Amino acid sequence: MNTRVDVTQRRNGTVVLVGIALLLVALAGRIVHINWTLHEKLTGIADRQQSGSTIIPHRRGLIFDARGRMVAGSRLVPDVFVDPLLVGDVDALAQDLGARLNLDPGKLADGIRARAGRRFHVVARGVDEVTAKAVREMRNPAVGLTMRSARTYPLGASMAHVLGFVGRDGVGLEGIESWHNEHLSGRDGRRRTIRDAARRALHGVEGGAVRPVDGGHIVLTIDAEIQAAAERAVENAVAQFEAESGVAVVMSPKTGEVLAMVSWPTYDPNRFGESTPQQRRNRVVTDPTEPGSTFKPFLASGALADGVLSTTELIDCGMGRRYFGRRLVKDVSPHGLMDIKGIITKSSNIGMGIIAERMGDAALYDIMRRFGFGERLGIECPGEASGIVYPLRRWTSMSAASIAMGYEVAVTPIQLAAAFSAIVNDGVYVAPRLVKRLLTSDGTVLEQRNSRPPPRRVIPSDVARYMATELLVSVVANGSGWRAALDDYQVMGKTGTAKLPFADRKGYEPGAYLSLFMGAAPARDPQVVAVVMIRRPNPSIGYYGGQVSGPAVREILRETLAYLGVPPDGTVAMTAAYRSRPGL
Amino acid sequence: MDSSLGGILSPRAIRDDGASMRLTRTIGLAATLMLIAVGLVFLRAEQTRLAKATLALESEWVHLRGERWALQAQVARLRTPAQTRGRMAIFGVALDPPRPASPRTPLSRLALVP
Repeated sequence: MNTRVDVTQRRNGTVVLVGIALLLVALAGRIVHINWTLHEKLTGIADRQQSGSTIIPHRRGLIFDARGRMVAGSRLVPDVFVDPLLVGDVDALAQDLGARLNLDPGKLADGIRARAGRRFHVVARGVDEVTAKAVREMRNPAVGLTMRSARTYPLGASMAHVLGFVGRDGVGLEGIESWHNEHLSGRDGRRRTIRDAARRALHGVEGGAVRPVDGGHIVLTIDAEIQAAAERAVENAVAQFEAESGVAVVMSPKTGEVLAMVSWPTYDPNRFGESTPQQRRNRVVTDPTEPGSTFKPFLASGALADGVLSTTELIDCGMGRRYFGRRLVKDVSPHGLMDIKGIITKSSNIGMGIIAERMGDAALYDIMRRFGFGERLGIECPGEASGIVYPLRRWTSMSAASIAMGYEVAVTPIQLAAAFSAIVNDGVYVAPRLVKRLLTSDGTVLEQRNSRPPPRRVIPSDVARYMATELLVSVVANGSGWRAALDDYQVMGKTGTAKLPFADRKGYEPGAYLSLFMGAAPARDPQVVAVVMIRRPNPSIGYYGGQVSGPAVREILRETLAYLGVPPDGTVAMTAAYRSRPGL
Repeated sequence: MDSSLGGILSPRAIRDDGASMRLTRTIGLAATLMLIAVGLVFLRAEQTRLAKATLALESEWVHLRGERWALQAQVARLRTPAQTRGRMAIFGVALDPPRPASPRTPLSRLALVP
């Protein structure tokens, strides 16, 4: 009996032991399975649950004007995000969050459901502080705020076309922001953290921090005060003459620095999404137009430089009508015999046509190219147009006469300003530029920008001086540019009125004009050049360049010269001297 | 490998020192192990506390950076020509800056300027 019991107990004990052994083997197998087969999957899940990543936003480089005013900066803005994995009741959350963010709860819920497998779903970007506070007060682990660097433009709409703007992804899309995107861009930093169940960061992961790299800064040649003065002048002219658009360029002729660049209508880069492509176009560099009579001084200086014309030679401009080939050219009134000064002052089309014919096509083409027409200047703005200067093989028998009046050729406002600067800068062409220097993120000078290509002489010094102090001064003192005259400074300039071509066919639109004026002051030592173009002024109010754009140039020059502290050059004395010259 | 922890619990030692010695050593060992454990916990807690403080400082740094950017933007807005003109209008200050001296100014006056 005892023996049987012993055997039974022993057998039972063996069974239990074998069972336990099998269980242990199974457990060991499971451990091996977990550690070998499921290791990566499980650690991945644990990592996603416990660790998180905090972005440390970088700062995009700042943009300063010529006097160190910040014209484009960065600020931190909160984005609201949802962690769909931690959301219990999607509809309840969407209801609560939607009310705080002023969003449609239905769409919010759909968005969260569509990203059910993810941990990060941004539901609102760049919210204000009040909204951010309301979100924080939810104290919901599934909802959080993440900071992001966003662009801000303190000047608002001023300088918008120069600066451009930055897209939501932090990439510059227009203007300097686009052209120098690489220099301005930085890199976000990152910190890996271990989080608790409520997604609160407990501590950082060893070696899991990457410092942010801030972008480099840019100093522009533009001066915000001069820019504002030019914007006021253009805006007033456009409003007064009920025009479609207007542009202005203000330059330093000696250095090529662009002091102001205005394109109207404009937009606010802080809210670029509300603007139209028309508003965003920087017409100063993208829109070539026929320059009309403003082109005459360049050809005249070429004729004087080539010796095909003397300053005293009289040219018969006839009775105000003359055929050049098959083309009939008219003057506003009959001028008879005139020297070059008279031709420029009265803006005689016939006189310039005769001079252009005498120069010949090759010399005309050459002087245009020397002044930089027909090629991109390399100004740091996207979309710069080269303008139109046809190659000689495309010229007809009427081309010289047309070009003499500023037709059959198209120039951008910046090209016109740069070429005019060359005349008033003693015949030396200095390429215009927008950037003064590039700085690193800590403010060290990385690159000092100079004129590129280097300054070059385009006309002899004596010709340039004669053009500036005799011809161009007389346009303002005695000619069509009188509205640009200032009391304290001798202004020189040239008016132009060009017909506008049809957009979709050949020919010119009746009653559609471009009113131009380019001016510089003070005549003794020009410090500032200003070019204003007003497009499609209401002809019943006025459309001549001197009438529409002349006053705008005067206002720009007056404010700029005073702002720069340029001493007056004694206008009255010079005008009197000019008027006392024989032959006038 | 010696499973008697360096001979402390070896049968010979227990036999040699008797029961009281065995108890003392056991308590000593337990205390040592406990101290080590507490030390480790303390070190781990301190590490976590410092890591969290570092994280808080980093967060504060980011916040202060943001504050600085916001203030810079605010200063820039206050310095805009439009704001300047607005304030000048409010205070009734003339908009035109002082007129610079003309080159025709007598030399005697210009000579005062170094």
